[in-house]
Order: sequence, then structure tokens, then C-alpha cells
Amino acid sequence: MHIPDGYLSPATCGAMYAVSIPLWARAGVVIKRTFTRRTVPTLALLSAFSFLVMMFNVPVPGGTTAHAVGGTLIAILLGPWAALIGESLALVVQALFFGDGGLTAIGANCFNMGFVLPFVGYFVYRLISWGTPFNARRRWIGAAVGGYVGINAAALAAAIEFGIQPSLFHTATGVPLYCPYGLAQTIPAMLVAHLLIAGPVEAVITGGVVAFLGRYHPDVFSLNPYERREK
Amino acid sequence: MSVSSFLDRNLREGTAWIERTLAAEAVAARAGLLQAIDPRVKLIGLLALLVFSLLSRNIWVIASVYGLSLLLAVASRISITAFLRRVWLFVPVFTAAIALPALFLTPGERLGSLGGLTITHQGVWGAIFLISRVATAISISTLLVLTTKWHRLLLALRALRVPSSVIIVLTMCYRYIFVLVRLFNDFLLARKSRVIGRMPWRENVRFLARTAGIMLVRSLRLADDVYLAMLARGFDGEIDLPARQPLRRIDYGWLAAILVLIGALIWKG
Repeated sequence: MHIPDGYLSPATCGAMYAVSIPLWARAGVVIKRTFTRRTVPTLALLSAFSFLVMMFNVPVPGGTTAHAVGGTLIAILLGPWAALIGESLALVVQALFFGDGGLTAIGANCFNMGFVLPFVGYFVYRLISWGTPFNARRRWIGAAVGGYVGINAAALAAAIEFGIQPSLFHTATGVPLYCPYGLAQTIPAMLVAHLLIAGPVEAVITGGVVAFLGRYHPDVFSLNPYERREK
Repeated sequence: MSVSSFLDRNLREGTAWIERTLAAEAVAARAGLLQAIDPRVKLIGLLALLVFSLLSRNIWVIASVYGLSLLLAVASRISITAFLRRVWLFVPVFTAAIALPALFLTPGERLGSLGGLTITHQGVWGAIFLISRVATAISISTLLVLTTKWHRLLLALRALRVPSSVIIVLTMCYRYIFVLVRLFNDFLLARKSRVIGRMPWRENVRFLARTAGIMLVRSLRLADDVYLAMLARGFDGEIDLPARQPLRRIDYGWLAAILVLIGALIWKG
């Protein structure tokens, strides 16, 4: 899911930065209002936590391991705008220091994993869990379904970004200059991997953490400004 | 999967990750060419090379930028075998596996066939472009991170107009990643010492979810503690970054060299 440099044309990368910058600006305004002066340490720890979740190896039945993203989880606990910032900062640190995801693709990666994933996941979660107490079954079920749908939505966004490359950027003789596969190939390839492996991993981790927190630390949920408003 | 291999894998990767990061800091402390250049102009120069290589439609231009990255690695006293390993371990595993089917799937002129599948001219060149771009891009970003101390690299983001509040959060985030990785390793070790034999998959996942939950609660508490510690030291919502250092002759020389080089490659390519 972390798009490296070289798969997307600089024009696509520029467009994804142009889409992401206003989202970051909006998230910055919302977060300043929500966390007041605690913003700096809260976001720092949140981003560090997001980074760690992306580093975890989660066992998959059958012997291998996969990574979760955790965006829906953070959106559930602190609101989707905080998730956008937390994930984006974690992605910047990953790209800058650890070579996970390209420097030119930061805008695209933040859009997919920082915006599409938590917002879609959170919307599904709220749809399922609306009006229930923090320890209700519908909470963790909503979290698991939200995590699953969210990561697949993000994979679809990435697949579209990959898939438009060969038709937009090729030489006069038809040599693809960046990702060589069209939408008919990228969408099934990305979705099969995410519907079958990454999606279930994300669902299990998101649902599992929400079930655990709902049982032992329900107070954490009230950090989400949207939950507070509803009460 | 047995519990020990799953825990071991996480433990091994966590420890290797810390070691790799510390090793990179040691390279950044060496007296080499890129280490001597101000991180702001180094970042801009290397990003310009990266974007230029990504924009180029000429394979020789991309190859020249890759060659330059090797020269820069040598001039910056980076072990060339470690540098090549870092780049070419990643490229075959991910990109070559992804690029391979393009040989057959890209429509175009027939070049030959392999096992009944037709290889096209366009497919071969598409794969070459992808692999060379990815290798060049990884080489350039590796040069950046290996030759710059982490806090100076973050401060250099100012040159790209990243707001200072974001730089502060990134700096704290980077620092706390290590705290959390250590904490996670402790959880794993504690678990490993209590478990013998195989655990069912369900149990492993439950352990991970619980650990992630506890780590999240701890992170939020730590954020509160850090905030109080900041308040006690006089934090009033504003943090000043260190003053900008003036650029030196070598920094201007570096920028001029990058400009001349890009100009020459545009002219020749």
C-alpha cells in the first residue's frame, strides 16, 4: 500500500499533494480547537503509535504475517481529522527516514491511508455503532467492518492512481513511463490482496483493540470530539 | 504459525530496526562530502535530482543520475557494498516481481515469446523504466537519510516551507517512536518468556490487539505527562526552532553543481 517513488508520475504526485494540502490545513484547524494546547504532545505520541501499528507483524492463518495500518482505529478514538494528521506524520517519518513509501508519493500515500482509509472506516463504524454504549457488541463489530471497508477503499484509491499511469504517461511508441498496468489490472490485483489478507488483518486489529478498550478503558472513547458532542 | 516464530519475527525486526537507525546516525557523523553540506540545500538538491530523474523519459539520463548517486555515496564515505545492498535488496523483491508480468501484459510490438506468452518491446522498456526509476529514487533518498542527522533533517524541512509546529511534532514523534518500539519489545519478551509451544492463531491475535490497546492508552497518558513536563518548563503554546545557520561557500557550490548537472543532462538527453 505504501507507494514508492517511480510508480506515479511527478504530475500525479503533484496533484495528490495539491489535494492533500487543504485537507491537512483543515485537520490542523479542527485539531487545534479540539486538543487546545495539548495538541503538540498528543499528536506526537499518536503519530508514533500509528508508526508502530504499521510496523507490527500480525499473524495470518497459514503461516505468514501482514501489516495493519490502524487509521480507522485512531479515527474511532480521536476523530477522523486527528487520524489524518497522525497517519500523515507517521507516513512522513516512514518515507523520510525508513524508505517506506516514496518522498514524491507522500501526498498520494497520505491521501489514501491518511484520508480515505480513516474517513471511510469511521463512517462505516458510526453507521453500525450509532447510539450504543462504549462496551456494546456493535462497537467492536462496527470497528472491524469499518477497518475492513476503510483499508479496501484506500487500496482502491491507490489502484486508481496506479491504473491511470499507462494511459496518461507513455512514449510515442506506447512504452509506459511509470506504473505499466492499467485499471483493468491494478484494481483486481490490489483488491484481491486487500479483500483477502490485509482487510481481515485490519478488521481483526481494529475490532480487537476497540473490544479491549470498550471493556477495560471506556474513558478513552470520550476523547473523540464527535462522541462528546453526541452525549 | 507457532507463537515463538511470530513473536521472534516482531522482536527481531524491532531490534534490527533500532540497530539500523543507530548505524545510519554513525554514517551521518563521518567527514564526507554530503555530510558537510547544509541539510537544507542538500535536501533541495537531492529532491531536484529525484524529481528530475522521475520526469525524464530518457533511460540514459536516469542511468546517469543513478551513477551520480554512487559517486556521491563514495564521496560521502558510505560503504558501497552496504549502499548497493540496501537498494538492490529492495528492488528485486518488490519492483522486479511487480514489473515482470508487464513484459507480457503490455500491448505492443512482439519481441519474442517465453513459455507460450508473447513478450512485447513496450513491455520490456516499461519494466526497465520502472526498475531504473525505483532504484535511482531509493539511492537518492538513502543518500539523504544516511548523511544527515535526524534532527537536522527535520529542521531542513523548513526550506520546503513546512510549518514549524509540524516540525516540532515530527521531532517529538521520531523520538517517541523509539520509546514505543522499546515498550513493544518488552511486551513481546514478557510474552515469549511465559509461553511454551504453539498458541492458536486466535490467541496470538488477541494478544496483539490487547497489546496495541494498552500501548495506545499508555501513549495518551504519556502525552499528558509530557504536556505537564512542558508546562513546568514554561511552555506557553509557542516553541522556537533553533536559528537558521547562514549558508557557506560549499552549500552554494553544491546547488550550482546540481543546477549545472541537470542543465547538462537536459541539453544532452
